[in-house]
Amino acid sequence: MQGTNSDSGASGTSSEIGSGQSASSVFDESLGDFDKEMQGERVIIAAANQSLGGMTAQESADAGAIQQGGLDGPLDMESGQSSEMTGSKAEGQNQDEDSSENQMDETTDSTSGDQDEIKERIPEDIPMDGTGEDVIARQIREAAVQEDDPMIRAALWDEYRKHMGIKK
Amino acid sequence: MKIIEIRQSLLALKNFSIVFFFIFSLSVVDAKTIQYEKVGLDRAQIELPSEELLDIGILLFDPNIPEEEDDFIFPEIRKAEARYMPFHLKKTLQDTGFWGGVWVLPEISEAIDLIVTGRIEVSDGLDISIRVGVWDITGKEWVNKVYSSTIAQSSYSKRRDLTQDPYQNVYNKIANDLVKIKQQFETEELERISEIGDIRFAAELIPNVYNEYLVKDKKNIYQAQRLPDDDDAIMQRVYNIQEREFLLLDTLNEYYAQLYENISQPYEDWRKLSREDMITYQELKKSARTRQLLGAAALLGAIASDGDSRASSTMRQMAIYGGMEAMRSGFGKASEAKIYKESMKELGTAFDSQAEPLIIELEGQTIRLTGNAQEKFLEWRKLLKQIYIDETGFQISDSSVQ
Repeated sequence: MQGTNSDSGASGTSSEIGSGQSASSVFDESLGDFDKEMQGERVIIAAANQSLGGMTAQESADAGAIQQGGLDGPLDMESGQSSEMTGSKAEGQNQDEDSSENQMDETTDSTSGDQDEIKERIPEDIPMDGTGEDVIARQIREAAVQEDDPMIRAALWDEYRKHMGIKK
Repeated sequence: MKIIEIRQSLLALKNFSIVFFFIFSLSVVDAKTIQYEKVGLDRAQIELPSEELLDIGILLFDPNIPEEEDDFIFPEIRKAEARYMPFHLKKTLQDTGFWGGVWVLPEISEAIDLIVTGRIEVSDGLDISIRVGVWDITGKEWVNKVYSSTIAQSSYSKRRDLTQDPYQNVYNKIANDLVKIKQQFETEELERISEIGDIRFAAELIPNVYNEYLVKDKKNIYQAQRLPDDDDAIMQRVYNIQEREFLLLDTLNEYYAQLYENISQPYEDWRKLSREDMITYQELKKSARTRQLLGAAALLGAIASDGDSRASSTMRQMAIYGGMEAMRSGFGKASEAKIYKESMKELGTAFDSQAEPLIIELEGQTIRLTGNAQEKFLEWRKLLKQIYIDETGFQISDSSVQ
């Protein structure tokens, strides 16, 4: 039967393709490459889903607004209370203000720390400001920056380069 | 003399009954009763053996967008629905436990046992109507019919089971029909469908080798003349490629899932509001038409009626006034309906612009992925041909492998 007496002539008559490899091994390698590509895609999709947190654009916007409201709330309440404070309490308030300033400084420090960490995670050949990025590239960049595993992060940057046509 | 008086009284009574009927008609014209159905989903009670599990591919639906602009059809919404609906059908079919892999397909695939197609006929939140076609890989038609349902307000309730789409009845009907048809087949017949599918996929890759395993009968249905041996090494490689086709589909379906999740809420909101507007619009339109017709009928009746008595003259005038009033109110209802039509248009346009960038992004991903995969498949076809020649010593004509 055609196609069934497979192994009989496999090694003896096997033609060589390109770099001296047999068609069979090129085939197996090509399947492996495809699997890697698909794996890369799945990582990107999973990362994009993670960065969205499974939320729709509207939900993300709402969540952001709520978060902002939550941060603003206690500050408003404090300022409301301060107008009713007198004497020693006012001094206490000053101390509170000082400490809140300190907190703000810490926040600023931690924000700049975050920025530094983000900068560290972006390879030198990738533009920092995301010039010319489309939606997909932006999603890959976000996923790469958030990824803690350096191997996966490197794979994501490779995908980014491939998508943006950046040669390493 | 007395006979004439009686005749005039009877005529007056007749005219009075016309006016009474007319007023009564106007009061009931707005009443409308819709019968809502509730279709459950048939689920497998036990885990089915793998031989009985057929794979299903649901092609992206035909959005059925008319060439000329239609006030009630929004192109981007239809395009979104053409991707959302097959994905929800996939989820419903997976939920039954009667099937193997279920995927949404951007284009037809020879690797899948059952192919489902759909064309959106109507979808406005109130009514849904989809023409569905289902064929197995042998070419046998399973289903070719229109599935419709009228959607109850409760289908949009936030307190419902949110895994259930407002159009769930239609999805359940399709899924139940497919199970009914599947249950008519013996296990061996289901296995044979899968085997023919595998050969068709193999024949797609190396036609001259596997085409002769199949033959078409008088009804154009594929029959297997013979099956590949279990140790057919080329066939094993074909299975490897088939697995990659499934892997590609899994990945594509992740993108479809993203779109599904992203538009789920705005799409439901649009359907809910559109349903309300559509009910009001339809009622106003019907009411306007009926009022205009009844008004015209009352006017004509009044003009045509005879009688000289004061009573009949009064009744005649009443009918004329009533008719004119009804026609005037009918035109009022018509312009009110126009306002609702505009409101629906605004709603549609808003969701249309929300859906458009998401569809464009998904299309971009699909083209990129399928384009890359097509190149790979072409490469594999050439390699398979070479491997076949290497391993068997037989030649394959170049025309069979492009």
